[in-house]
Amino acid sequence: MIASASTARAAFGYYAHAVLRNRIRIALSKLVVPRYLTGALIVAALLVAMAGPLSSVVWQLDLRPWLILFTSLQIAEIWISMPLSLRASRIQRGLAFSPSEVELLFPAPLPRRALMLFKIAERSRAVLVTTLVFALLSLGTPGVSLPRLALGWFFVASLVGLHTLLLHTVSQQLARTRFAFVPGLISALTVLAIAFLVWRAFAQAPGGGVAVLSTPAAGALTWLATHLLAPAYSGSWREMASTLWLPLLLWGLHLLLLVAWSPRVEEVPHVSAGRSRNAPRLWSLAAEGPVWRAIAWKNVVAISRRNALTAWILVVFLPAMVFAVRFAPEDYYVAGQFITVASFFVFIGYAGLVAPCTKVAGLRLDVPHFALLKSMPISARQLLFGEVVGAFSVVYGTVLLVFLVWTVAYTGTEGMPITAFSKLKAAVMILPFLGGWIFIQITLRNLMLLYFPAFASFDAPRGSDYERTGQKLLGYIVHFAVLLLFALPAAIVGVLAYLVAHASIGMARWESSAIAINLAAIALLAESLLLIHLSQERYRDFDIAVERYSPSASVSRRAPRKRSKGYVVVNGEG
Amino acid sequence: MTDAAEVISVKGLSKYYGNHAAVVDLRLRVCAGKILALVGVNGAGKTTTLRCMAGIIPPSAGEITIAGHALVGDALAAKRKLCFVPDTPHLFDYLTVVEHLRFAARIHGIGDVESRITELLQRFELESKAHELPQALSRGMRQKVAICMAFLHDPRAILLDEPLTGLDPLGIASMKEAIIERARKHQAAVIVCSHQLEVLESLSDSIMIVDKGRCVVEGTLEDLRARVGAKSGELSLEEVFLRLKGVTPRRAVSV
Repeated sequence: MIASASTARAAFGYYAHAVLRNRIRIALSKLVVPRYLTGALIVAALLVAMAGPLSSVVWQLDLRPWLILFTSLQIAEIWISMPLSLRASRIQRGLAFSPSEVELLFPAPLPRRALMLFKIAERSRAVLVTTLVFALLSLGTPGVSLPRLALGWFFVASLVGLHTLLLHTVSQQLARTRFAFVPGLISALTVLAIAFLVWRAFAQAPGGGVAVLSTPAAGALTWLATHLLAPAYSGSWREMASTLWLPLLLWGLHLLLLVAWSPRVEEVPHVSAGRSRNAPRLWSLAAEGPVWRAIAWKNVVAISRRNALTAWILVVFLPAMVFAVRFAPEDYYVAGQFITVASFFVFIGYAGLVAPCTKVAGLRLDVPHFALLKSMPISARQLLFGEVVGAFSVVYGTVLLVFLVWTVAYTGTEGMPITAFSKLKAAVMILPFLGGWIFIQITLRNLMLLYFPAFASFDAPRGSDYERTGQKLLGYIVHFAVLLLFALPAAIVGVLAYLVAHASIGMARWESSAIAINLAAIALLAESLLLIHLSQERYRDFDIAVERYSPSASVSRRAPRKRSKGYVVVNGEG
Repeated sequence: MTDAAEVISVKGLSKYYGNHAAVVDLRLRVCAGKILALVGVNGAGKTTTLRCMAGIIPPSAGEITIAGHALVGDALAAKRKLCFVPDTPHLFDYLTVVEHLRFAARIHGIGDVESRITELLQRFELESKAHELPQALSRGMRQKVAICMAFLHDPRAILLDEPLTGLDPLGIASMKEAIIERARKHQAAVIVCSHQLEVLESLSDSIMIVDKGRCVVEGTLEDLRARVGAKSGELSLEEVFLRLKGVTPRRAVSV
């Protein structure tokens, strides 16, 4: 017998109430632990800052065009990733049920519609957090009010969530039919349309900069996001009512489609499992060699398979970019060169600061495998080194690839042509330094788990609690503070090397700089290796059971030591 | 039996989490070719004991020696001789089955391993799954992969924590056979932790019952029967265990 809709509503209502109650209870009980209290205080401070000083900065910088662009890109990303999410590793997006949901909800007498509503309701927490963050950040904008900002951003955030859910559900359902190619086709058309509009926008505003956002092409690209965000930033309730029709219409349409459609959600986990078969074979592990290479190989394979989507985008995007820039008509030449340089620097910034923190499949992801790894004959130094080298190989390998693309695509402007020698100089200056910089960042990120496990959020099951967000923020602060501390000796080495080479020996300025930068990079590498060496004991003593929070356990490090005389012999003498 | 045959030796092992004692002054020895069953209720300290012996968590006190190598002083040499199969097989999400085995082989420094991998995959009926990722495997299959990884380097000390969980009847039979073969043919010392007492009864040479981290009783099944005042062959391990815990087993209920 299938439960009626009201029974299902009652059950889910009870579930939501119980989960909320228990979450609050656990969150409050955690506050007696200093590390969680610190995290909670940081989040509270962040929220206050968002509503105060940060929102003023946002207003002064007039970030609204960028928020529109951000929302547009988010919508585009949903369309582009729709088919790839099934083929690559991001199968958990969209309509994905957790193992406990599959085990508990699927056998229950619930209609599919109820499961769908459950998934929609489950997302409300993330929607509310997004709403809160963007509403507070925009509070300094003249003429806005918090209720209108909150309501407007709620519609945008929930609509983006519903849209993701709908498209991924459609994609997952089509994957089982002969129309499985449709999402891929839509995705390809979306990429082409966006590429064309971006190209047109830069051609219409050759100077680049914010002016690009005011071109008709950019207007077409951001039309939907502009109209979706309009209610949030309206100056009065009357204005809001007049602009709310589009978000409301789309919101209702999505909800109606999702609830009325009743897709076969029970088969989604099986589709996911089926897709995971025959993982692409990248390369084999050599039969012999140092043990750290095996760890590094494992991580390279993991990162490549986890980020298959990004890899595919790079594989398609980079050659397309080179082709487009090199063979662009004369009118588009300057725009092409501008895009090349801008994307190069954006990528270098990303690779140097963001990627080492976010794309690290090292110790943090190996926490569940600690039992296996620690029972194997790997020294702590080899393991830590391997963990770092794996992520480094991927990030730095991508940097080298992008640099190569840049050298091929970028030829400079008419007034300032770039020669092959200039590119060589750039390579000598940029690449070694980035190597050392990325290596030490990945090292710090890995070791963070050992020294500040509470700030690594390694055991967050799904989503994250408020105090974990605070811990993560604190973790980033610690990361960058330590990074600066370790960058100081490298900087001193670099400056001294420059002074010796330029002032004492009389070498040319760029040659002296190259020597200085390379020596600074070597210093960073040496510091990383020293850190790994000094962390061996910490890894050996690291016990994850002690670090995990348990509401009922009062964990103290003091261990009484005593010996008794019990002795057991198993099938032996003595 | 001489000390030369001793493979696993544990003296005064203790593990504390704050004031909570997970294991207290445990002593045991397992000789080559023998199988010891570690039995106890949930939270008795079985898994903590095995994890200390596998070098996963540092003990608070005590000495552990594997095949003559001290786990604290000569960890790498000791770990080359042991294998550990955890209760939950956490495989690497993005390595295929065969890649898991190649990875383990490389860590243990086994050169020509392909024929060994093929043999193990055949034995545990994983050939057709060789190139699949763990998410496409059932729990039992994951357990088999973990066991294949463990047996790859012919370990002298085998530590198995609930190795039969999730296995089908054929898998259980195959696993039992493999454990016995490892002990008898390859002269490995085996410690098995399990709640499937009837399996342990048929598998083990001796049994140690632990409670609250301490050894309550140890010996052969006959020794344990004698301890509860039962005649030879009268009670099963389950019944002995329940009696030791002070619980009277309920016999079949007649309607």
